[in-house]
Amino acid sequence: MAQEVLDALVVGSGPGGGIAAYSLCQQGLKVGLIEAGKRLVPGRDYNGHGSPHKDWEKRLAAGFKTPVAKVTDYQEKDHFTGVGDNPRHGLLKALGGRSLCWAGHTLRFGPGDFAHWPIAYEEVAPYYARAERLMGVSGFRDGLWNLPDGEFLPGVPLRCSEKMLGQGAARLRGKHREAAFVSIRKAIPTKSGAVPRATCHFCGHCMAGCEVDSKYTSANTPIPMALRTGRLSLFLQSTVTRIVMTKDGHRVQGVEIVKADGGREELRCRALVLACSTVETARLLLAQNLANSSGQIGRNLSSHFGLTVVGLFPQVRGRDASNDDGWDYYHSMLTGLYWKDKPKKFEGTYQVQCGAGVHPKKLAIKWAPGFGESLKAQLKDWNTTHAGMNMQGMLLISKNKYVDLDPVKKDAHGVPLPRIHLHYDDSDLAMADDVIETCEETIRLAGGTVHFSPGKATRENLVIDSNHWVGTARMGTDKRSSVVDTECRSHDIPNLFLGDASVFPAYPEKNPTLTNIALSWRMAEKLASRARRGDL
Amino acid sequence: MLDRREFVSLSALFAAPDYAPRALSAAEFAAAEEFVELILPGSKAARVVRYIDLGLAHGVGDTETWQRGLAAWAKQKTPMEQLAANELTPSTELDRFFGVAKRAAIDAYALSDEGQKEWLGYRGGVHLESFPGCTEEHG
Repeated sequence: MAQEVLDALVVGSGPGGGIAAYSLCQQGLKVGLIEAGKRLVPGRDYNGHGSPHKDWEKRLAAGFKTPVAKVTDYQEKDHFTGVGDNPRHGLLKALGGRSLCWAGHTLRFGPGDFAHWPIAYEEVAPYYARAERLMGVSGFRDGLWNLPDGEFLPGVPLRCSEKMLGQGAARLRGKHREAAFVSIRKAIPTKSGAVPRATCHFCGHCMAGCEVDSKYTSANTPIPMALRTGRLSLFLQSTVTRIVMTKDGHRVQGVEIVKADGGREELRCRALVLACSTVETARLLLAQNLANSSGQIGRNLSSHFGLTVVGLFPQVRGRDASNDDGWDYYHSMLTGLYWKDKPKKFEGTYQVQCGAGVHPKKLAIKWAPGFGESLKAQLKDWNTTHAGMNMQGMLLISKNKYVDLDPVKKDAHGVPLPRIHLHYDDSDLAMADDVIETCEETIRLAGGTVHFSPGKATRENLVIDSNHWVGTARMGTDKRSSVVDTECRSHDIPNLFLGDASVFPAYPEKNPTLTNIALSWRMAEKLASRARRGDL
Repeated sequence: MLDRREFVSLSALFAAPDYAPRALSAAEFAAAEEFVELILPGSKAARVVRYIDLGLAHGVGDTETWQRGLAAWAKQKTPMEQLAANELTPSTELDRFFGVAKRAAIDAYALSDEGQKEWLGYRGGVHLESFPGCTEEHG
């Protein structure tokens, strides 16, 4: 019997892969979704609701070193080689991928951001709106030109010290600085019935994995919807080891997978969508030197990077701090900086995620001098009155940051591991210094005192965001300098499409997931349209 | 009816602590409870050292550091005021142990029901229909 040829295979079930699979199925295509991990069950496989002391012995016996069962327990280890300034790389092999462990921050890129892209904001805006409706995004309408409002469910208000920072930001504006202080927007429903998921109950550990599945994930929304079409085949615990090309080498014919039992199988398709993550997609293509006539695969790497400044606000001393849980630590952000006023000392811009309050399972301030009752009183006071400001800066795209293949280390199936090269540029350090100055000024303008500050940025005290990598297969109109076209289709291989953040040609300060989903949805529609026309 | 010997034996069973230390010896465990209670009053009732000992038994922290630190404290009985004063510039094993024990105790106490309720006044971890945010005016 002839082997079935699926209309499309999607590799990776994270934010981009999940939505691509759903969209393709919805448009009538027969789709296979390949995921290297298994299905995790919220509440069973991860559950932050538990009592750390009661669960500790059980957790230790199971080999974990942390008392709370987090979805990040399942992240890969030893899956890449880091070179330079301590690169980190989060990879979660499970149905839904890293949509299981994202914070849920859902921000549109703005018209100013798309000025650096070959497509305009207006082209992506309809997909943003559809994604927001599907995801159930909660937030306030802030009216900011470069952080466009979306279709929001009711927003979540700020804690007291965050409101103080808002006063500081207002005074920054009074000093003619471009600055806005807004509540964060999240793909977590705050209103019952808006989306078919549980409403948020404000337990405060979204990133640890939402045990009631209120937070949007690929596993709880688009993949079940795709399955309900009857046109999706799921290949779980199946790792792609090779892209199989036609004999002439011009087109994808399918992929080779290794299943949980170690057996190998070739799956055939008319179109292939890679949505494995910025690093893993680049790795797969580099391993066979595919779609790389531009030599750009692995280049143009970016992420977000940061550091933390902490302020104390004696004005809020004595407030009711009995339940600061909210929807995780970060509720707010300082943004709008350098959208129009271009900085002199560095390139790009940043936002600052802000959080506050007493979070016993993860105290923000864990040390105070002394001992005894005075130590307890001091720690309680500092945690009650503090606000943390965490930089999220755009990592400058340069020749000092890229992904290639480790010449020695391979995975269990013989595919070379990726190597991530990260060497901060002077511009990155200058940006971080500007963040320190701005955060300290904001705290002081709000009537607070700086409790902790790195003082000066160094290559050692900057922290790279392990989950925000983008750009190793950038989109462009010139095939000599880009990997995919504006439909996220390979310039070199007409039936190869990319559905993850590897296609980002430039990166603003904003979180990448919503844009990844919107672009992948758009890509899937273009792919389906081509399939209908017989133009793959 | 129980005879006296049976009664004593049963009483001892019921009076026995429900936790046998895994990493520290019984004497070290007791000393650790005393030391940590001085750093963070309320730790003993919150069973902070039980939490620490379980971790040590599974490689969270270094058992030898605790054993050496507790032995040094048994010998020197340095006042807490002095250990706290040396915390940022530790020069002896006991100075360094003070910092290790303090960090571990703060973590474990904040994670305990007693620490959360009695120390931090935390009433979270409950189902809320909506999050009120800051309802007070400051500034």
